[in-house]
Order: sequence, then C-alpha cells, then structure tokens
Amino acid sequence: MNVGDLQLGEMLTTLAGRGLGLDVGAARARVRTDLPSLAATLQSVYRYFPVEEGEGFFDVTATVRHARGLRRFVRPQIEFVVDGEVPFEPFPAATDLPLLEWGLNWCLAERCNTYLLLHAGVVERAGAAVILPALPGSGKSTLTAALTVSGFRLLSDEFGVVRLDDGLCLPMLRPVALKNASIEVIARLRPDANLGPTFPGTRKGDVAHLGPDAESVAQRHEPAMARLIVFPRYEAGAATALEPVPRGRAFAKLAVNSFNYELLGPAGFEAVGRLIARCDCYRLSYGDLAEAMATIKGLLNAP
Amino acid sequence: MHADAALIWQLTDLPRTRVHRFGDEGLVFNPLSWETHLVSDPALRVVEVLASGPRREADLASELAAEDDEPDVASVRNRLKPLLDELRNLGLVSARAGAP
Repeated sequence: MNVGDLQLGEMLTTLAGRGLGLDVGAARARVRTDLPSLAATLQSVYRYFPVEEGEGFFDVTATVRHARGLRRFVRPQIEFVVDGEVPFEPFPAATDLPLLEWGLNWCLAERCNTYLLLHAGVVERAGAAVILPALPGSGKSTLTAALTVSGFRLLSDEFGVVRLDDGLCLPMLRPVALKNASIEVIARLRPDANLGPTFPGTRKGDVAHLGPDAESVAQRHEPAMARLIVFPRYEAGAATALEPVPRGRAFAKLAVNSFNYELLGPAGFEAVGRLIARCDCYRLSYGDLAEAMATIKGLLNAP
Repeated sequence: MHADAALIWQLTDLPRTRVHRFGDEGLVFNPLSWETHLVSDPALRVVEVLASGPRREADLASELAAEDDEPDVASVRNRLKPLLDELRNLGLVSARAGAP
C-alpha cells in the first residue's frame, strides 16, 4: 500500500502514533505529527511511496508539532523536533511542509556521511545520471523539476548522493522545492504534475513542492552512473550558452559545493576525483528553460 | 655547486599524499591538513615526480629538464626554486640538507 492509498484518518493515526516511515532511497526517515494539514500535504507529495511501519532503523526521526507557549493562542507557530531537540526557531503554523522538508534536509546533510553529499539536483535518463550542482542563483531546482516532468528520472533535488566505494549516484528521493515564479513555470510545463499547495511568504518566498513521480519512486534503490555535470546559471533573458569546464576547476567547484567533502578527507578526495574523471563538465547559462533542457538532452544524445 | 642543489626535497607525507591529474592541472590532497589544492603544471609535475621518492634539487631539475627536452638545466633550476618554495608554503613538500 502506498501513502496515497491511505484514508486521511489512517494517515493521521499513523503520523500521531509510531510515525510514518519514508524510505527515500539512500536514507530512511520517520515523520511524526499531529497536524491534520501536514498529514494531507504529506499524503499528496509522497503519494507514491510505500507505507513503511514506523519501526526499525531510521536515519532521522522528526516531529513537527505546535510550538509551546502563550504565543500559540495569538499567532500559532510550529516547530521541528529531532532527537528531542528543537534546532530551529519556530515557523508560522501555515508553513508545515516547508518546515518539515527543510528540517529533514538539514538532518540528512548532517548524518549521511557514509556517502559523499553534493548540494545538487540529480536526474537520470537511459542509465546516465546528470548532476546539477546548486550554486547561488543557479535555478537548479527549476531545471531539475523541468527535466523530471519531461521524462527524466528524479534521483534528488537537494542531494547528489555518491557512494564512496563505487562512485554510483544513489537516489535521495524527496519532493522538489520550487520557489516563486518557478512554481507556475512547472505547472504550465506539465499541468498534471504532482504539485502540492503553494506556501506563500516563507523565508524563501513562495514555496511549492513537486512530488516524485511513481516511476522515480519505484526505482529509488537503483543507482545510476553519472556521465554529465552541468553547472547551471539562470539569468532572465540571457541567451543559452554552454561552455566546457576544465575538470580541475569542476573538481574544485564540486568540493566547495559538497556538504561533507572536508569531513570525508581522503575518501571525499577520491570520490570527487573518480566522479570528475568519468563526467563531461559544463557551465550552462540560460534564460529559456526549454533551450536549457534541449541542451542537456543534446549532451546525452537523448530525444 | 650551489648549496641548494644538495637539498633533498620530498613530499611531506609521501604515502598518503594523493593526486588527481586532469590535463595540465590537477588536485593535490594534503593528508596532514586535509586541504585540497588546485595545482597547475609545472608545479603539479614536481609533486608527481616527488611522489615516486625524494630527490636532490639538482637531480629534480635535471629530470624535469630531460622531460621537456630542455638543455638549459640551470634555467630549469631557476624556475624550479620558487615552485618548491610555494609547495613548501602549502605544506606539501619539505626539504632537508643532503650530502654536497
């Protein structure tokens, strides 16, 4: 049974009890909440994930709950709790899914150090993974989402997970967080995309989540070999420009962009080195999403 | 012979220093600091030569000159010295006095 098949009441009971286990590929998370609104949105964006019993080993066990204190009567807030700690300031109650997703990202980035973790979107087509590292203003999530709704398999929007022993990319399959104008762009590109509700006025602007499609979920334990690293840079109105990045420079950019390169030391050095050695590396400046997608498909010789 | 010619240069931690070369530049991992350095030729070539073992400075210059078919070894030595100093500042190589 998948999360989307549960009745809302069952979903609430599960979330309020032992928790909902989510196997996202490279990690397992357990989520607990007593917020009905979060139960409904979770069910929407994680609809194709199998229902997991909230038992066994989980990399993260997180709870989103109403914040304590008198303030909750005036302007309700919610908080993210992990291992009994509240690592962030409370959020407005209306931003439950963004808080959960950001909190899970933070936990996974802190904990999954048996892998090289790149801050990157990763998609795959015909066995070739494309890594889209997230540099500021890159438009990484928009491009990742656009490719995903256009036939690519989604491995991750946030984490490029590279296994240290063989260099394969593993899925860390979670919803793609779209911001501001990107939400409408993806909705227009694929009107039947699994887009959750829009959360206006968060700390990162308006946010909506694109739920992973059924095929990506079904393949969340299937790794892929990276063949292409594209450093995207979105600039409104800019002409599409593709330029090779020397591998040494690409190595440096990836290392800086990693969550745990320095922590891994020599293992991280070897992992990035092997990854770079077998990938073609490019910088892609774009203002037109369709052209950017066509460029990436062209690099893969994909239709 | 110039006094420095007898200096013996070596990687600071030869067994654990790691190098990935990509064309005429590459990355060198310093196992003592866990820092990664982007290094271009000819400094990268110096690291690679020293990765096969310590060298007297004069021998290192001769070896690099031979690789480049450069007959003017003295000129190579003059260019080598600042590279070695730079690599030493990064903690990647060190020098000890050798027999003259």
